[in-house]
Amino acid sequence: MSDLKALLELLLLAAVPLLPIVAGRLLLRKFPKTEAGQAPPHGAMAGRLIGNILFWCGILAVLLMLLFVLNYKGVI
Amino acid sequence: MTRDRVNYIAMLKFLVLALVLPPAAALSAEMEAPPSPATIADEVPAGGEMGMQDLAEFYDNAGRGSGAPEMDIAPSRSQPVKYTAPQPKSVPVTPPPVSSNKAASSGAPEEKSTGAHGVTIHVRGSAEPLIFRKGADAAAAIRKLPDGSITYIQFYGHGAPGYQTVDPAYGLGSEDAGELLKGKMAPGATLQFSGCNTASIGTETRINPAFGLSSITRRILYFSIPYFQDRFDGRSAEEAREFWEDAWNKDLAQDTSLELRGTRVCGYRTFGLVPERLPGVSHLLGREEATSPGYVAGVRACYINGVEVKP
Repeated sequence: MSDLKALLELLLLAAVPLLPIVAGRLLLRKFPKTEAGQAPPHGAMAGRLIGNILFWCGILAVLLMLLFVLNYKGVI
Repeated sequence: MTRDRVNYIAMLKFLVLALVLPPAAALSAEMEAPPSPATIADEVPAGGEMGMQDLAEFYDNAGRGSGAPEMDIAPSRSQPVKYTAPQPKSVPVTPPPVSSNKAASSGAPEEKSTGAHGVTIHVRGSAEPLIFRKGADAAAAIRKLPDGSITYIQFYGHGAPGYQTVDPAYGLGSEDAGELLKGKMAPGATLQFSGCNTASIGTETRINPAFGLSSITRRILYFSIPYFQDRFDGRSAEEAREFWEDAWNKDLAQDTSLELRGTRVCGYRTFGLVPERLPGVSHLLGREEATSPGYVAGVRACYINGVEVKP
C-alpha cells in the first residue's frame, strides 16, 4: 500500500507540469484560428490567448524542471 | 490530430525518462574522465550508510562519472544520520586566502577545475574578506580566528536538504557548522548557506509556479527516488518512508540557527539557480572558479534561534 501510494504520488507530481500543456492544447483546438476575413466566434480570442499562455507556460515548466534535474546532477 | 498525440506521448516519455533514470545517466559522462572506482568507493561511507550528505556529495560527483550504481543506500534506517567531516590529508599551517575569483596556481600541474564553490568570511576590523576555495582551508582558518570575530560567512557550493558541500571533499551539516563556528560569530552576524534546498520548503502558500516546481522536484529527488531505491534494496516500506519523509524537507538553516544562538542563519527554500554557472556563461564571465554565487534565483529564508526572520 505504501509503495502504491508513493508510486501514485510520483506519477502525479511528474504529471503536474504537463497539465497546463494539455489544457492549453485543448483550448487551442476548441478555438481554432479563423480564416482571414472571417469573424471569430464569441470568446475565441480570449480562449486562444488563455490556451497559448497555458501551453507555453507548461512548456516552460517542463524546461524549468529539467533545469532543476540537471542542476541536481551537477551538470549546471 | 495524430501529430498532437504523438507530441504528448513523446513529451511524457522524455520527462519520465529524465526524472526516473538513475542520476548517473548519460548527461554526466562528457565533463571529465571518470574517476577510478576506488575514488568513488572512498566517498561511500563505511557500512553503506547513506543520507543527505551522501546525496549532496554524490550530487557533486555526478558530473564526473558513473557514480550512482556504486552508491548504496543504508541497510538500516534506525540510526540517525551522522556525518563525519572528511579529514584533509594536510592542512596548511597558515591557510592561504584567495583574493581573486581564480584559485592560485603556483607552478604545480593544473588540476581539473571542480567548478564554482568556496567560503567567504568577513572578519571584524578587516576591510577585505577572507576567501577560500577549499572548505578544509576555511575550517582551519576559522579555528584560528578569535572568538566573536566573524561578522558574515558564506558557504557556497551544492546543497541538499540538511546538508551543504563546499567542495567535493568538504561538506557540513548543522552540527558540523555549529561545532565549527560556535563562539566565533560576532553579535548580529550572518551565516549564509548558498546551496540548493538548504532551508525547508516552509508552510507559506505561494503563487509563484517556479516555487511549486522546485518543491515538486525536491520531493521527487529527495523522497520518491531514494524511497524506491531503498525498496529495491530490500528495506521495508515503513522504514524507508519514515526515513525519507523526515529527510526530504530538512532545514539546514533552521537547525544551524539553533546551534549558533543569536546568529542569523540563511538558506534557500528552493533550488538556487545561478545564471553565471550556466555552461558557457561562466566561461565568458571568467567565473568558472568563483567563490561566491553572485545573483541567485531562489527563495531565501533566514532564522535566528530557530525562529524565521525577514531575509
